Amino acid sequence: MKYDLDLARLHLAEHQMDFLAGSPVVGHCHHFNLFWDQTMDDALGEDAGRRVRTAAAHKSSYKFLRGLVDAAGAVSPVERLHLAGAVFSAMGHGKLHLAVGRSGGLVRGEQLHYGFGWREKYGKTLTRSSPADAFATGFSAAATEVAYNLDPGSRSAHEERCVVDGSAGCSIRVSATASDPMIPLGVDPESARDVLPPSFHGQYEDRIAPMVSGLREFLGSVSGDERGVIEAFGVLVTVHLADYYNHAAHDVLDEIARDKPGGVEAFRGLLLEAGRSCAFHTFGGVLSSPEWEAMAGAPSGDPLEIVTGCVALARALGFGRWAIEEFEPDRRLVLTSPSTYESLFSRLVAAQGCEAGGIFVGAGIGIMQLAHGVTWQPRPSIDAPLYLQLARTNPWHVEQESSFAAGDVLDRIVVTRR
Amino acid sequence: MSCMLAPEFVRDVGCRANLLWRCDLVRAERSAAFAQAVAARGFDAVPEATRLGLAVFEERQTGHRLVVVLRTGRVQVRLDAMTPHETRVDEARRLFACLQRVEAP
Repeated sequence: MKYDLDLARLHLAEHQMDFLAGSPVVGHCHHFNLFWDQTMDDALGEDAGRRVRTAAAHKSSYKFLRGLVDAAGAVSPVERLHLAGAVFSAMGHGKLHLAVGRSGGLVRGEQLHYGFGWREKYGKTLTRSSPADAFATGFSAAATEVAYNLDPGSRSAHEERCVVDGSAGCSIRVSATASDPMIPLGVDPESARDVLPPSFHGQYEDRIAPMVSGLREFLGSVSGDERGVIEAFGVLVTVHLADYYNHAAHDVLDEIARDKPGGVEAFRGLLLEAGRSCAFHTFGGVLSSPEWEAMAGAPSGDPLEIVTGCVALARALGFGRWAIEEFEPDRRLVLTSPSTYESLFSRLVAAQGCEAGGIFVGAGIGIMQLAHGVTWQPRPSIDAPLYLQLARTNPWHVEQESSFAAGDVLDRIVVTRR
Repeated sequence: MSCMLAPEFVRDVGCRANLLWRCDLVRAERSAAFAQAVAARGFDAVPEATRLGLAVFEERQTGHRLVVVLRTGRVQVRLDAMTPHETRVDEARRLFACLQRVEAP
């Protein structure tokens, strides 16, 4: 059964945010997704990082699947498990065979996004023994609970085999657990509408708006193939639960603040780097792709062209309605947004004033690096050596001057030369 | 009839593990004719991509795709993600050789 994501999609056009069955979703590629998970592990250590990531997947997936089965009118466990597997594939996360009963069971995974993506990206150069598919693991536990109307948190899951260590496939064991009940909080469209401020225009809207329309039309037609894989723009793409990233970041931040408060600023630095990674790999990759070239032409290297293209991409991927308040080539970029998928979660779900995210600030640096540090003609190099070189020679400094998460009226960052 | 493609065949921008390759038409304005000729050689057209200004074709047996940017004449050979690592370079070269034999109708 192939699931049509449009059946459950809601687009808040004014704020460029997307919801699927009542949960916010964003587009992210395998480069960023792997980087993000590694960021959590770098902060807490491998075992604790995996625990937090799995719990984040469990919480976000429970809320999502609960909304999905309600919207679809799926009643029986068989229907619900089929629906969960189908939507997982349609979102580009691979294929899950959910052979689970009320008390649990074994889930077989094929082409799971993280394990498969890790093997593709690093498999020739690195070795790894710890499993990579925390998202599929938490999703499997949640799918079991939702299928059988069980309390959230009453089932746990762990990945027993993963392709990252050379195994032929992935397998996840779901079992009953006696842990504390889980509260699957998250952002929903109604609470988002209540709190989001009015949107506003920035500069160069006449350039940005048509690109957003073209990108959204293309992205709306994209979904996982029969293997649960989305290949577009030369990367492996996922439609991902925004609350997965947000729960993970906030839970890591809470643990660090409790156990190693001196490490909080270092963790914020890691989150910023994840945002820079997103800009470089996702925005840079898309701008150099055939899809972009067909839509807008190959980038000439004009910094304004790169900056407007990146802002259009952020909107089309559901990051929020980013806008250019000010841009002075080679000197200064000011980006604003009524909120982002990170700051909205921080404001609504986490303790107010506690922002855990780096997309907006990190991407600010990354956008300026793409605009001024990449040779776009005749052909750019969007690769690991350039990513490292741009980090070593970075002349840009970013300040977040307003934070929607902290109660300000909008998000605003200023990027300047050091 | 001469080859419609320039002789250069290289890894494309963003190539990961030899999956993305690039060649270019000698004359970009002939990209629509090139796409038509590719279709005639047994590649299946992927219709949804045309809205963007791309012509995309899939090789049925392998799942490899050919992506033609109609406005610029860029051609990307996009190997199927499941292609074994050890055969990727040969598969890409095989497809390029096949494209070199394409003649405009």
